[in-house]
Amino acid sequence: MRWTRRRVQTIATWVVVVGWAVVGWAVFYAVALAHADPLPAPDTAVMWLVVPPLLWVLAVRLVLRHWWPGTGSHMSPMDLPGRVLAAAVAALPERRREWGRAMTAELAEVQGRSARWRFAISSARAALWLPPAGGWPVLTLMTAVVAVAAAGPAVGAAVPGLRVFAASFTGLLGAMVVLAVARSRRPRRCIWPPCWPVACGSPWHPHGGRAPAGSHPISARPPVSCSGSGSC
Amino acid sequence: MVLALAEQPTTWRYGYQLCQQLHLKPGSLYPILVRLADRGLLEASWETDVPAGRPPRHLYRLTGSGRALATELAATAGTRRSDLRERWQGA
Repeated sequence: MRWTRRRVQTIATWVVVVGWAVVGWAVFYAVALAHADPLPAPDTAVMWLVVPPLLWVLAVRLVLRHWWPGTGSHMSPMDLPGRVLAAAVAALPERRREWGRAMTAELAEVQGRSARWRFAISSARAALWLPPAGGWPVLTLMTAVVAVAAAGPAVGAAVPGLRVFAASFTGLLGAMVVLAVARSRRPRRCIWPPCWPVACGSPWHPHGGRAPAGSHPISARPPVSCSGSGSC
Repeated sequence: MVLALAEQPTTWRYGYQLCQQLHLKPGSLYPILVRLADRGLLEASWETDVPAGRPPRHLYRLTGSGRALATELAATAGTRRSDLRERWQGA
C-alpha cells in the first residue's frame, strides 16, 4: 500500500473521529449522567459529537499538510511496524534521540512480519517510557488532557446555558494542543498519543523545519561514539 | 545484562543480538542499556563499516567501571552460590 499525504490525512481523520466517538462520547455521557437532570437534549449530544472532533480534525489535517512535504514522504517506503516505531521515537527528547535511532536501525535487521511487529511494539513501549521522557510526566499529561476533556462536558451539564461554549472550548483546546505539540521545537518530553501522527516527523526535524539533505536517520551518518552520562 | 556483556568485554554487541542472547524483549533491554549508559557503565558507538542497504547499528560494550561492576557481581553471585550450597549440605 502506497502512503500518500491524502491517505495519511484520511487515516488521521478517522483516528480522531473514532477516538472521540469512543473515548469522548464515553466521557461525555459519564459526566452528563453524573451531573445532568434531566439528561441533555439530543441536539446537545449531537453538538458534542460534531464540534470538538471537527476542530481537531481540521488541526490534524492542517499539520499534516505542512509536515508531509518535508518529512512524511520519507516514511512512505517504511512498513507499518517501521512507522509505529518512528512515531514512538519521535516522542523522545533530543538527548535520547540516539536510542531511538538505535531501535530503528535494529528493526531494519529483524526479519518476518510477526517478529517485526513484536520488535516495533516492544521498542515503541520502551521509547515512550524511557526516562526522563516517559513515566510520571506522560501520565500527568494524559491525566491533564482527560481532565480538560471532561471539564467541558461538566461545565455544559452543570450550566446548561454554557453548553455551546463548553463544546467549543473543548474542541478549540484540543485543536490548540495538536497544533502546539506539532509546532513546538521541543515537544518531545511527553507527547499525547493522538498527536503522534502529526509529530512523527520530529526525528528528522529537531528544529521544526524541513529536513536537510541526508538527514534521514537511515541515511545520516551518526556520531561515531557516544558513551556514558546520556549525553550522546 | 552486565554479566552477559562481561563475557566478551572487548566485543561490541548490538541490541537485537543481546535480545536474543538474554531472551529479553527490546522494551526491557533498551531501558536497561540506557540506565547503564547514564551511569557510565556502558559505552555506545555507531557501526562504521556498514554494508550497503542497511543502517548502521548502535553497538555496546562495558566501560572500565562496568567491567569492575561485572567482576563484583560475579564475585557476589559466587559467594551466594557457595552459601546456598553450604546451607543445603548443612540441612
